[in-house]
Amino acid sequence: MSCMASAGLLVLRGCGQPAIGACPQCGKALCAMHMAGGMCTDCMALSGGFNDSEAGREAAMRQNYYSTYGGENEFGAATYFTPGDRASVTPGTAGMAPPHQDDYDPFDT
Amino acid sequence: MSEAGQTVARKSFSGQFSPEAQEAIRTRALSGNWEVRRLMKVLGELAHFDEVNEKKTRRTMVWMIVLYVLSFLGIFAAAISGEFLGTNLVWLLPPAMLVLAIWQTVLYRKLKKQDLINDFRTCLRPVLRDLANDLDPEQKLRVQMDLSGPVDRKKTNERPAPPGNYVKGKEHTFKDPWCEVRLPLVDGATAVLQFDTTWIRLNVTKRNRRGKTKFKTKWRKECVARATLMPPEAVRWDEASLQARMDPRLEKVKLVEKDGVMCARMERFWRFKGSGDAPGDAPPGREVVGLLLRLHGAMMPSTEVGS
Repeated sequence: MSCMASAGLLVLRGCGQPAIGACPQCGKALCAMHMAGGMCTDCMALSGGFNDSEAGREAAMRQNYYSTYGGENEFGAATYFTPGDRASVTPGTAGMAPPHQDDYDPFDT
Repeated sequence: MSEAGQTVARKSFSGQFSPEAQEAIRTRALSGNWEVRRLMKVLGELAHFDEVNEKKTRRTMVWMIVLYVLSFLGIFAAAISGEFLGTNLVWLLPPAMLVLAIWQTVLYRKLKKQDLINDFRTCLRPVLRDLANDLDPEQKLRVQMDLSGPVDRKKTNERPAPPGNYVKGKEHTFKDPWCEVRLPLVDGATAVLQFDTTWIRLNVTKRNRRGKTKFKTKWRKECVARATLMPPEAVRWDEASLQARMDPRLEKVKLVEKDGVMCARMERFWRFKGSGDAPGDAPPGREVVGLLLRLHGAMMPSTEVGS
């Protein structure tokens, strides 16, 4: 049986390495690298834990991206921009205005 | 350390790097076909060089200012101490300080000429790191990067500054399409990232309330990151979801045809300001990956076409 832990960010796929055990939470077959934290890296990332390994960091990063831009299950949900993103934008920048039609004040620091 | 010593130190510092990185430092450009690991290593070396170079530039600037001030104050110090000590040798101090200050100025200018734009280390490198597991290890990345920033050869426009509270002013525009990188993905698709920067420099002469004339330089940096996703074969694009997922104030999305295959392109706009030196801020790598993530999420199998 091969490891079923997720790999990749854009192209989400199975790891594919030979499995040596299973995740106690979700039951996925896992290889040695993905078994390092005791459970699969996706479950660890979902529970807010942090596994200081390459696979753990990748899972945490993926979780972070998907929660910002929407994962496969959240396709179409419009929660991609934080209030901070929106606040940083002035109304003058609408529609990517060309350089000389904006609110640029040369002495505004 | 003498100037010769400094040159040796600089050579030995850049000598620590791989030949590719040394070539990139010399030409301030990087291009060709690269394996992802090799490219990441060279970008890491360039990032280290740029960080150390920036620190050295700052330190040299501080010494330059201190030495100019000391050479001026040295005239008074020499006059006073010469009276007490009864020797004219103290008068050698101010010119010596001035020579050192000029030497630091020359060094400062040399270091500034070696400076690389920060965007490759604060934007492109994190993007490649986050996408590393999505890249096809069998294929090479095609890269074309110009790391020199706003230099004279990129100047496209020079005109009087827009009306404002100053005596005279001039605005210079530099067009800098500094990076294009082609990323083959494991699913056969190809992602192309293009970064275009427009630098606008405003040099103005102002007069303050006391009648003193002041010179000021202001910078504006406008960045556009353009992500194009080229599928290996005909696919259907979920345009509605792309439209729903973009921020219309900062982003644009459109479908483009390349070699008979419909591709999707998304671009995002950022603007930074600075005074004195050109702004070192760059688009966050995370937001650039976000463009590709949304494009990839909108790609649907061609079997669903017309269903």
